[in-house]
Amino acid sequence: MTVVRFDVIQPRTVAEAVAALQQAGELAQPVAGGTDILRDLRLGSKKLELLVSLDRVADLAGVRQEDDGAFTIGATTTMAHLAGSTPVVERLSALADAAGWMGSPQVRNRATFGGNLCNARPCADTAPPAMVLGAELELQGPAGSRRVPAGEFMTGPGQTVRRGEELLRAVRFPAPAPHSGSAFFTVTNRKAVEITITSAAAWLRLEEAGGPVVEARVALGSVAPRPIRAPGAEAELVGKVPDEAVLQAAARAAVADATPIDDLRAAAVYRRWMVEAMVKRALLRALERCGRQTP
Amino acid sequence: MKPALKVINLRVNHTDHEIAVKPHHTLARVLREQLGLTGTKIGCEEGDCGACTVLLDGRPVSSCLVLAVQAQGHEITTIEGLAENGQLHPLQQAFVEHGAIQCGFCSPGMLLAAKALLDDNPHPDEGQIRHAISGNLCRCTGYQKIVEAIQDAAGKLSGDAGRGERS
Repeated sequence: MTVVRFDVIQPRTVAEAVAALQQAGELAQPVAGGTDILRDLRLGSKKLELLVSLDRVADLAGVRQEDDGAFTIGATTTMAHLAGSTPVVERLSALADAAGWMGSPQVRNRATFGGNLCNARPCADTAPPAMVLGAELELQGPAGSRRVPAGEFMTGPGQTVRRGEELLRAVRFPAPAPHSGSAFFTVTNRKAVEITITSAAAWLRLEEAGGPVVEARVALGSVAPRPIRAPGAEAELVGKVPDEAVLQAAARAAVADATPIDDLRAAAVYRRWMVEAMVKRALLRALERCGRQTP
Repeated sequence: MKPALKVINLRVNHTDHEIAVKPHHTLARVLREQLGLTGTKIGCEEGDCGACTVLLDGRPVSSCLVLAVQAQGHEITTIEGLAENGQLHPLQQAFVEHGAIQCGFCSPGMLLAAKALLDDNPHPDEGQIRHAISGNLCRCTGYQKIVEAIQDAAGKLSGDAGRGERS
């Protein structure tokens, strides 16, 4: 393999990291776990002169629940941490589902939430959960910070609204509502070390246990140039008591929201079938979980 | 322009090493080429095969995807750190006895993934064992002998601990 040289700096604070990114310009990028970027550099699909490693920056990792029930998850929180965190498993279940499946144990111990979002692949497994759970990304720039809804962060394959000098600092989730629940499902060829062929995340909020759906969010991965919401599916759910027929109709409606392509991993037609299957499974599991989320 | 070398302290198998490394060098490369710890194998260099697995603070990671400078301040365990006082670790002994080593290329990574599992969960069921080694490819054994070896070692390790408690 070709030798790819680059320099690495290890700032201690967010401010130092942002200053370094600003100074270095386009040929610099932040690195956390490195599971995507080191591979991309070695394969030549990315060319950089400087990596700003976030491993020494204090307070960038961890799951914190605020007094009002909202969650703040640091950008360098690993997949293993998310999947093993009881509050994430219980309250942000779709995110724990995605983080616990991705890659291998070795990858999950290094790969980070922020890295998965910023790498911005259409198949990024934490993106659909972040979108259905109403997450906002906190971007820190030299002049201040701004928040971007998860659904507006990615703009295309590998593309986000993050400016080169900005650092994704944390992802914020509103306090989980009573009688709400979420889930994530993905289809792959193998059970481990795989890339998602089609994924779906679903979040439901019921009026009361056994009652009609007040709000619904469905998001799809790997069936468009970026993870997308499925408004057709959501419209089929709101105001209805979610029985088998309602969930099936919503899953079928999601297919029309997807615009998959044929590629190495699967044909577009297969991906469309899988949209229906994955959305159905995610809705069923999310509904089950609505029961356990009490005020 | 060549980036300057970085002087780091790597703690490997309970021993500190002060070395100068190239910033773009991975932990796998530094372990093998600068510390001579060639038990860590480099396979795919993409994080897919698990041959380069080492433990970082007790957790398995692909050392081909960790920059050496990022490993500073962490406790690193390689396959060379498993045997103690010339005695194979019970996992290593079980791999030998069960024929879980054929070509041997995956064995260091497989053993370290298994060690991380047993340190965390002394009584794993078969599904948990297969999940724990799901990031390690083996092209020879078909995995069955590896799973049996880990089950055997788990029994022996927890049996020893049980005897210790009774005495």
